[in-house]
Amino acid sequence: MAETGRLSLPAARAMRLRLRPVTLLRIAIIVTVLVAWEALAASGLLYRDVVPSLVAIGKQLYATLADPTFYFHLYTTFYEIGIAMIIGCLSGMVVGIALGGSKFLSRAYEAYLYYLGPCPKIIFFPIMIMWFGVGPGSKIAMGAISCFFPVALNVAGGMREIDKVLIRVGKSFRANTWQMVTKIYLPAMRHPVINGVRLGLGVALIGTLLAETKLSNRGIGFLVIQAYSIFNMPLMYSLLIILFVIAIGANALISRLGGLDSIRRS
Amino acid sequence: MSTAAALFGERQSPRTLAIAALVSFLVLCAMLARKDLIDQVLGMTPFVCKFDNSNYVTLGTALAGTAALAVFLTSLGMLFSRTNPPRSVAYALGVGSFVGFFVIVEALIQRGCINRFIVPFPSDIIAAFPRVIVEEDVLSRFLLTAGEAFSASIMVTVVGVAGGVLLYRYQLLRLATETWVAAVAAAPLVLMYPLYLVIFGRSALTIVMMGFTAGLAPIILKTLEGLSATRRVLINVGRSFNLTPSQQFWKILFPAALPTIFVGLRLGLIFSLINIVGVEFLINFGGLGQLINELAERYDLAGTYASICFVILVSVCVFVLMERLERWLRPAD
Repeated sequence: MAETGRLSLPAARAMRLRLRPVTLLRIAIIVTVLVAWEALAASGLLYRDVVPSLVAIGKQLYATLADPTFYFHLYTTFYEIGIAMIIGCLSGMVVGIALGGSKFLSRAYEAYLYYLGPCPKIIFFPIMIMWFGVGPGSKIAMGAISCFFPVALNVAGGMREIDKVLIRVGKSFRANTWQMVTKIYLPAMRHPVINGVRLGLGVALIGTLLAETKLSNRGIGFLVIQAYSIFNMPLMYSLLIILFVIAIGANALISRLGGLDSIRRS
Repeated sequence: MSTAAALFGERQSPRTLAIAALVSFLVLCAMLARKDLIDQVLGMTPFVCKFDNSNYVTLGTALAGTAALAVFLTSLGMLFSRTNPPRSVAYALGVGSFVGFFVIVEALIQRGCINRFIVPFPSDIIAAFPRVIVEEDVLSRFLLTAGEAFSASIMVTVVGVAGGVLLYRYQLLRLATETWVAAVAAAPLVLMYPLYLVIFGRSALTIVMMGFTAGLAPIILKTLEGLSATRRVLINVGRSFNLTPSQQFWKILFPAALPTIFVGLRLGLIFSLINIVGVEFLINFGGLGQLINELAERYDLAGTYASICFVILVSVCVFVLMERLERWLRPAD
């Protein structure tokens, strides 16, 4: 998972300025897709409303963004994801540091984390409902569980991969513990930690929103599944567009803030 | 070892740290176990907040307890690292803490500290395994999920690798769309499942298509990465032998990219599998995912927990198998 989905916005921007054919091709692809979509919508080949007209989606998108209740649901989802991220990242870091710092512990426990990490977390949702109720609590728990694994594994890996030379440099300067942590360990582990948080945010988003679609009465996931059950396709498309923009934007933002573009893609 | 020592302070010996962490862990556990006592104490103070009713305080205490446990285990690890114990001790600790955890949970439920209508006895969960396997027709469910995963993985492999080759072949197309593919890989695609439900109906096709969508981007990206990373020397060797473009691809580029492609395949197939089981659970249709949903809706507690353990076991087995397969197929790096 660590290797995919890294966005390089600055690179893309530089390309757009320099390479005209690329820009043209991009515009051509987008226009083709939009025209094909509109033609499909007008042709009526598919079941009615499965492919709504772009105008309808645009109107619905505007209506959704202008609707104050949408922001209530957005706030609920953000709140759940925020708390889930705090819990998941903190516990992930504690466990990651413990595993990364001791070869013994990593031998004892890391295999479990490594194989549990990619399991579908949503199947824990029935248990989470029993433990934390049907409200936001169970969604926060889902997000936190999802977020915990990538953070823990990345922090543990990052801690092991700190260049021994850096540690020796710190020691030879007679740095005390605090200085070692703030000047050597944390800066050296910056990239894996931020990468873990980036992956964690992605899966926390999925965990929380899927939980909302399964059982809830608020949040964006609830809105999506409600749009499905009342068969309001333009609304569903507009919600998905908003969600993807938020998710991709957050991913790019974290990559950029963490300077992940500057390191070699592993 | 030195890392941990530096992080947790060299002056304190691991032994002191271990004892301190264990004590705080036990205190926090006791706090969680006897919330009523704490509330009595709180009642004597001007605090309005009740420990028992505040989920967040409980959660915070539980988290602090986990952290204390982690510190305790770390310092134990440091103690052990000094004597440099054999690997088997570490594995034994891993398995031992698993078993110990179950025993503690069993005891806590017996004592009434944990509500037995929320967490069933671990022994009941184990006892429920045969029942779930026999009565719930697990084999055919497993085969159904495996079939879905198989069709999705065939589709995702063919389309993904072909897509990667296409992007490698046409540089302009790559420059235009690689960022987009990376963005798609970062998007929470599984949330499109209601849309797929509308398009494909509530059927196995939706599940297969969801698995396909989820696994596609990593395979494309990794294929592209593998092909682009072919060593210049190898390409030049092909040129000097005057290979045709198709020979150049099949004899030089593809074999050179194969290790990276396998990494992509493993990632993509794992994504597919996660999403297939997840969507099965969410739309209550099909194989193993639906099993959990059904038992949960029947409020068959032990059965729900057992089926979750079962699905996790199955997926872990699949992951291990895939990793072995990848290592077997990959030439030595």
